[in-house]
Amino acid sequence: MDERAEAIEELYRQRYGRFRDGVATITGDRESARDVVQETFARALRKRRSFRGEGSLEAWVWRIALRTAREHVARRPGVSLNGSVPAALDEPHRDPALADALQALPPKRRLIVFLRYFADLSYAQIAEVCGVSEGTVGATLAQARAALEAELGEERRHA
Amino acid sequence: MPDEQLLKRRFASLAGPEDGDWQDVRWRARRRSGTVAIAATALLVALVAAGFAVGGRVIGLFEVKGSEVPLSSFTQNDRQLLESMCPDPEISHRSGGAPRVSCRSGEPTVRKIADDGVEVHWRVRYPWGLTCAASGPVGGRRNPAFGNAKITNLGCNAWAPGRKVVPTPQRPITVDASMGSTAHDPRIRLFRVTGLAGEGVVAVGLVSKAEPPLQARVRDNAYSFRSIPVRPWTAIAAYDAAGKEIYREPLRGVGAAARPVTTRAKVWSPGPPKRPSGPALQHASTRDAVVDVYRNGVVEVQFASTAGDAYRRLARTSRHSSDTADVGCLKVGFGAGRWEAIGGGSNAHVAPLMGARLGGGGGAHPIGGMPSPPFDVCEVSGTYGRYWNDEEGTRELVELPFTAIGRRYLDERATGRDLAYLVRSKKMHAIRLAIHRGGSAPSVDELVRIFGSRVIPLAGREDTAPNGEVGVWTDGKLIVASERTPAGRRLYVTIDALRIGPNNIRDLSFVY
Repeated sequence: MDERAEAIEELYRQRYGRFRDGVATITGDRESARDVVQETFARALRKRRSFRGEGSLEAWVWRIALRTAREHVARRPGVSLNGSVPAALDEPHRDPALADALQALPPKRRLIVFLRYFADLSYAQIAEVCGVSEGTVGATLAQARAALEAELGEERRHA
Repeated sequence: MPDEQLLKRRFASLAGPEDGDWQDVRWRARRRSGTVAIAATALLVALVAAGFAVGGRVIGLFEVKGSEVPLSSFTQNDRQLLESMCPDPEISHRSGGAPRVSCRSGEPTVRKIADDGVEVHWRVRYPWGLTCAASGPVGGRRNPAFGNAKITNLGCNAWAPGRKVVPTPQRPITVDASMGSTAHDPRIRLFRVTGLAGEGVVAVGLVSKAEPPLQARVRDNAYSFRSIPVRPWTAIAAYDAAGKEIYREPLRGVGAAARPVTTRAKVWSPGPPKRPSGPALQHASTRDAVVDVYRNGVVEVQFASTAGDAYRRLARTSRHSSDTADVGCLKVGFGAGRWEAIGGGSNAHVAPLMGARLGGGGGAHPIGGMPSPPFDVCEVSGTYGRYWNDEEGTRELVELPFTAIGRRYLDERATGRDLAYLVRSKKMHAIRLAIHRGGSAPSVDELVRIFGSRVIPLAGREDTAPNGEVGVWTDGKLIVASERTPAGRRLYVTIDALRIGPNNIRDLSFVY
């Protein structure tokens, strides 16, 4: 196996769970997310020669993952994405308060939150995946955290 | 504003299970890039299959061909698995070398019989007549905790010598299915199905009532299903080149709710075997119990008193599960810093007199991995949690050594378990996880504070604590825990975040 393929395998072995959980926020369940992640890495293997090493490998694979997930969701009957990626906790019952708080965020902001906290990506990687600047990622996350604080603080006050 | 780490922790608590499958990724990558090649192969297979049908060849026949594979090409885990079928294993010693297990009846011959690019299949034939089918993912399975393996499934025709382990006209496919349920969904689901396919079978399908079959092409006389969608599959079927179903067998239990595990499940045990009329071959006693081993493999353990500490603990701990305990015996060997142990046990209901028949059973097609008496050690093991530094300790409830090497093995195993339980403890796991996530290991003083007075700090990585105490050393990334056995040997284990690094306890206890 060549070096790129080995690096992709290493990434899969280290980060599979993060990819699956992150993608599940888009596909809606972990079963289909698993399928999407398998397909993502298969595509990454096939297209590995097009990865020029200018950014992080993980961000490159994440771009493939988001594209594959969007295709998966778009294939569902009656779904129109209009260019956005609708993300939500796939198992909201496990943390209903967090799920509600996240749902209150605008879709793009929500996606960045998932990439940060579910996928465990750095600001630079999120910027690369989403095609925005690192500053935008930082600002978006700050706004998202503030909104979450407002929602989750409410949760604590009611508890 | 919520703390960054707090949010990460909250999300981390929602993480799902590690159910990745790299072999499936490789297969998908190859499947697309090799569409033309696969189409050509499928066409060829179809033509050949059609030729068989026209020529009156028998559908389902399986010709065992392929190359013989040397045992040395398999991993240590694989060889142990293959050796475990031996009816008369023994430990052999080479001067200055590590002991090794050999089989008096001879070694098996292994032939690679199919490889569909996902799963490799072998036929294993033993000199005493046993035949097995083995399979494993292409490239093997890597596991830093359990060790690497090429073979992940092994099925044999034990006790049914005429039964084929490869396809036949009556059963043109073999089926090796793994099923299970997850914590979030108690319904039984199929995780993986693989098998061999005989002549004329070009596809295999998973059948459900509501939807068309999910098909997998047969390649090189084998088929594999990976990433199987969750559906109530009812059967598996084989198809010929014309797409006609030529065979079907039910898949039982898929979609049904998994039976909850009850703590008071009834467990069968064979009951004490008949005591032979002649004298015992081996006899040993402790304060708690007496053991007699007979030449034909019958082992009897008689407790001195039901009021004794060992018996009361046995009765108490077995009540949590099934009122049974394991009566077992071992042969052990030591050399070049390594232990080897062969043996086994049998389930027996807890009573003042407990017995089992271990090995020596013979029969036309014996299986086992169980050596014949005399043994080095016999023991009675209870069912209880193995937690570090708990009141149950690291020894079995009754340990009866017959030889000096047996006594030393029990001593060293107890020390090895002490280290293994420490590594496996919840507190240590939290530390390992934190290091894995980029944190640094706690200082030795902090480790001592966390784990208590039996743990003492060590200045150097190679240092050892006095007997009965566990020494710890760390450089901020690695943690080395070490302990001295009663015979003075230094046992150690290196913790490299979630990975277990260099250690010399793996042959004594299970560490991960």
